[in-house]
Amino acid sequence: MDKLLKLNFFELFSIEPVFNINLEQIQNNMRELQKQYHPDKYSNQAIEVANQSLILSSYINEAYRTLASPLLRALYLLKLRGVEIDLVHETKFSHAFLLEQIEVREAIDDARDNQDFDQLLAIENELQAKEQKLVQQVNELFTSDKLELIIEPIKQLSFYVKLQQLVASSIAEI
Amino acid sequence: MISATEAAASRVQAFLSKRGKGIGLRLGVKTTGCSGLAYKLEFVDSSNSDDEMFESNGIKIFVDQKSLKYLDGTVLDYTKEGLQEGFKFTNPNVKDECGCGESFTV
Amino acid sequence: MALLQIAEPEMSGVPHQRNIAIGIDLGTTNSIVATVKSGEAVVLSDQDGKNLIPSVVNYGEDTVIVGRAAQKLRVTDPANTIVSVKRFMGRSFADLDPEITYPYKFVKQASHIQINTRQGIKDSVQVSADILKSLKALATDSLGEEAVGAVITVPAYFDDAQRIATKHAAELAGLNVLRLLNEPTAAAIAYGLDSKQEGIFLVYDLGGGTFDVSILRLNKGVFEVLAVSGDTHLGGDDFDHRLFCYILQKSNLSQLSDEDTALLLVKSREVKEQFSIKEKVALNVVLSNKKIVNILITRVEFEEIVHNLVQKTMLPVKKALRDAKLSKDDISEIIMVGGSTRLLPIRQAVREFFAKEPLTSINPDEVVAIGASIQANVLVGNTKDDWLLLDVTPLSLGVETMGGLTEKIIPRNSPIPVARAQEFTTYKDGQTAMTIHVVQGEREMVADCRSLARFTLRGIPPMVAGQPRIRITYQIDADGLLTVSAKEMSTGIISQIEVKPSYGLSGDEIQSMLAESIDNADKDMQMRFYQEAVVDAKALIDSIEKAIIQDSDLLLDGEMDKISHVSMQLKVKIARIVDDYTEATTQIKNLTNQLNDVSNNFASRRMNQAISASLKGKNVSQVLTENE
Repeated sequence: MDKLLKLNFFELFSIEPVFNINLEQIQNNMRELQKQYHPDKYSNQAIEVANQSLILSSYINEAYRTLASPLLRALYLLKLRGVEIDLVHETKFSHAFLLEQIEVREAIDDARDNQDFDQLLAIENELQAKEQKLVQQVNELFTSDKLELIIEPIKQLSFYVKLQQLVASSIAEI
Repeated sequence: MISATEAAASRVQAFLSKRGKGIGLRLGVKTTGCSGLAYKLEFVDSSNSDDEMFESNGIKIFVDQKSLKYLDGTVLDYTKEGLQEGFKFTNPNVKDECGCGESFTV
Repeated sequence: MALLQIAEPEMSGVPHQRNIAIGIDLGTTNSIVATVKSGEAVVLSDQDGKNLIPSVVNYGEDTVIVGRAAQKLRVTDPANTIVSVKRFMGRSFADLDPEITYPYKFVKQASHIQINTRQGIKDSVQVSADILKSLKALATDSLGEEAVGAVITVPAYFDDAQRIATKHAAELAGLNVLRLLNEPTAAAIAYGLDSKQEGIFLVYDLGGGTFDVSILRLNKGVFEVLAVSGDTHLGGDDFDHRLFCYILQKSNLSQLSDEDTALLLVKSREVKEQFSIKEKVALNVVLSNKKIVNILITRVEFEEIVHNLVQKTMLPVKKALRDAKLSKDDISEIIMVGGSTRLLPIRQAVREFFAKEPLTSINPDEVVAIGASIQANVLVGNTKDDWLLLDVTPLSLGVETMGGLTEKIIPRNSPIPVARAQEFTTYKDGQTAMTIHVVQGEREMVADCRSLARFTLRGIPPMVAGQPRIRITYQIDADGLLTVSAKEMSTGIISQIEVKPSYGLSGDEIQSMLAESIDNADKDMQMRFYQEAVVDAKALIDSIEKAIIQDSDLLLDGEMDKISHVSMQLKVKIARIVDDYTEATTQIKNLTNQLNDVSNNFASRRMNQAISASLKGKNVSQVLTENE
C-alpha cells in the first residue's frame, strides 16, 4: 500500500495529467480504489495494516476532492509543472472586480440575515455560472499551453469558489 | 438418507426466498483438530459433481460423499430453546458430542 | 447447546468461532439490538418477547436495573432512575437547558454531566454503558454465545464529543466496537441492500427530538453518503407540544399544575398517535382540580395545527439536496425512519414534495438496528457480499485563528476517512509555543462553535514572527472520530503532539474510570478465557491420544515424535501454576494451534481411510440403496 502514496493524484487514478478530465471516470476510479483500500476491508487485521489503509483511504479521498474541483485541479497541475501560485498575497484586481466581490458578499449577508434560502440558491447559481466561464477559459489556456496567461483567471476563480463556500456556510447556518 | 422436519424446511424456504438466490441447503462435516468433526450448514448456489441430493418437505439438501458417511440418517430440525432459535442435527452416527453441539465424534 | 444458523457457501467458520456480530440502535427513548441469522437480519427480543428496550437505568441499593422494570421505578424513585441519557452524552452541565427541570442531583462543578445516585456518582458514559451491558446480555442469551463485535448507531448530527462518549460507553460495556454508524445511513443500508436496487436514496429520519436528512447513492456495490442535514431542535415532541397548546386554548385552560401538565402532555401524544388511524379523536380528562376537559379534535384541525412543523422539515430536505447537487427528481426512493414518520401529515407532505410514495415497509422503529446488524455482519467477514460504505463528516472542523475566528480545515459533508493539513505561523518574535484550539461547527466565530480540544505545541525554535511553519493535521477515521497533530516544519525540527478530543473528561479521568471498570470485570474475564483454553487443549490431547492407539499404522516417520513433543509441552504448560492469566492463555492457545497443525495430516488420513473402507467395492447408488 505504501507505494500508492508515492503516486501523484493523476497516477493514482490512472488518468492523463491534463485539465480536461472525465468526472464520471474519476468517480468510478475512486469507488474501485476505496473498494480495495477502505479501512472497512481491513477491520479484522493487524493495527499496522488497518492504519495504513486509513492513510491510503484518506489519500484517495483527498485525490478525488482535488481532481473533482476545477480550481484545486488547476493548482495541482501547475504545481506538478513547477508553478506555485500564492493565492493569498499579491492580489491585484481591477476596481470593477473588487466592487463586484463586495456587492456579492453583501447580498449573501442580507440573504442569510433574512433566512432566505431561495435567495441564497439564486446567488449560488449566478456564482456557478461565472465559475463555469472561468473554468472554460482555464481549460483553453491549458490546452494551448499558454501558462503565462493562466494565473489571472485562476485567481479570479479562487474568489468565486470562496464566495460559494460563504453561500454554503450561510445555508448551513439558517 | 437425509431429511428435514417440516419446521426446518419451512425456515430454510423462508431464508432462501429472503436471500433472493440459492437452490437449497448444504449439510456437511469437516475435520477439526484430530478426531473431532464439525457440522457445516450453508446455502447452495450451485451443486458440485460429487454431491448427493435429497428432497425433503419441499427443500433440496445437498451432501458431499465424504460427509454423507457421517451424516446418513440425520434429521435436521428447527427449534427454539429459551431465547435461542436455530437448526439442530439429530444424527444417529454420533457417539459423542461436545457440549456446544457443533462438533462430535463417530 | 448452541443451535446452528445457515452460512453463506464456503463461509462456515470453525466451531466456537461463528463470528456473531450485532447491531445496536442506542436510542434516546428505546434501544434495540439486531443480528444477521442465516442471512436474514432479525431484531432480538427479550424474555417477554419485546423488541424495544426502554433506555432507562435505575440504580437501587445494590442493583442496576435496565429497561421496562426500570421504567416502572421512574415514578417512585425518580432521582435514581435515569431516562434519556443520550441527551447528556458528550455534554457539560452548562449545556443543559435551564428551562427543563430534572429530578436528578447533578454534580455542578464537573466538566461533564455527572449525576449523584444511590450508587455514587455516575456520568452519562457509565449510564449508557449499563444500557449497553444489558443489551449485550440479551444478545448473548438469545444467540447462545457472545458477539465478537458490534456496530453502534449514532445520530448523523452527533459531534465528535458525543461520538467519543458513545464509543467509550460501548467499550466500558465490554463490547468490541466495529464501527459507529450514522442512524440514517443504517436505515438506508437496511432498505438498499434488501431491495438490491441501485439509485439515490433520501432518508427522512424524524425522531422524538431531532430531525436528520441524509442522501445516499448506491452504485456498483458502493454506498456513498452524499449529504447530511437536519435540525437538532425538531422532533415528534414538538408535535405533542403544539397539540397540548391547542387543547389548552380550546378548553380555556391556563396555569396548570405540574401533574396536570404532565398528564395532558401524555394525552396529547396519545391523541397524535390516534390520528394515524382515526378521523376524529375525543379527549376526556379529569384534572386535579376536578375540572373536566372534554373536546373533540378532527384530523383536519390536527393537520392545521402541525402544518408549520411539517413544512419546517422541508428546509433540511432542500438543504441536503443542494449539498448533494441534486434535484428532487433525482431521488429514486425516500426512506422513512423514526416513530414520528407514522404521522399521516408527514407522509403526505413527503409524498407531495417528491411526487412519490415513501418507503415504509420496514418498521421505522427497527430499521436502524437492522441496518447496523447488516453492516456488523459484513465487518466481521461473514458474507461475501462485496459492498462498501463511504460516509461523510456531518459538521465542519476548524481551528481558532486570530480574533476568535474559525478557520475551517475540513468542511462538512467531506467523505471520510479524511486527512487534511494546513500551515500556520507565529505572530510574535521569538514565540516558542502555540496554542491550538480545535472547534466543530458551521459558524464564523469560535464562540458559536463547539470547542473540542485545546492543546499547546511547545519547542518552536525562536524566530522572527511569521517565519516558523507549523503544520496542523486533522485526521478523521472511518468512525468519524478526529485526531489532531501539530508539527513545526521550517527548521526540520519536529515537535509533534497528538490530541484525541474527549467528552470534557481529562485523560486521567478516562484512564481511572476505565481502569476501575476493567479491574472488576477484567479479572473474571481473564480467568474465564484461561479456563476455556485449558478445556480446549485437554480435549485435543485426549482425542489425539485415542486416535494414535487406534490408527498408529497411519502415522508417518517422525510424525509421532512431532506430535508427542508438542503435546508434552502443552501438558506441562497446563500443569503450571499461573500468575499471569492473559499470558498463560496465549501460550496455551499457541501450543494448541501447533498441536492441531502437526496432527492435521494424520487426521485427514484417518478420515480418508474410514471413507474408503466403507465404500470399498460399492458404487454410490448401492451405498444409497443400502441406506434407504
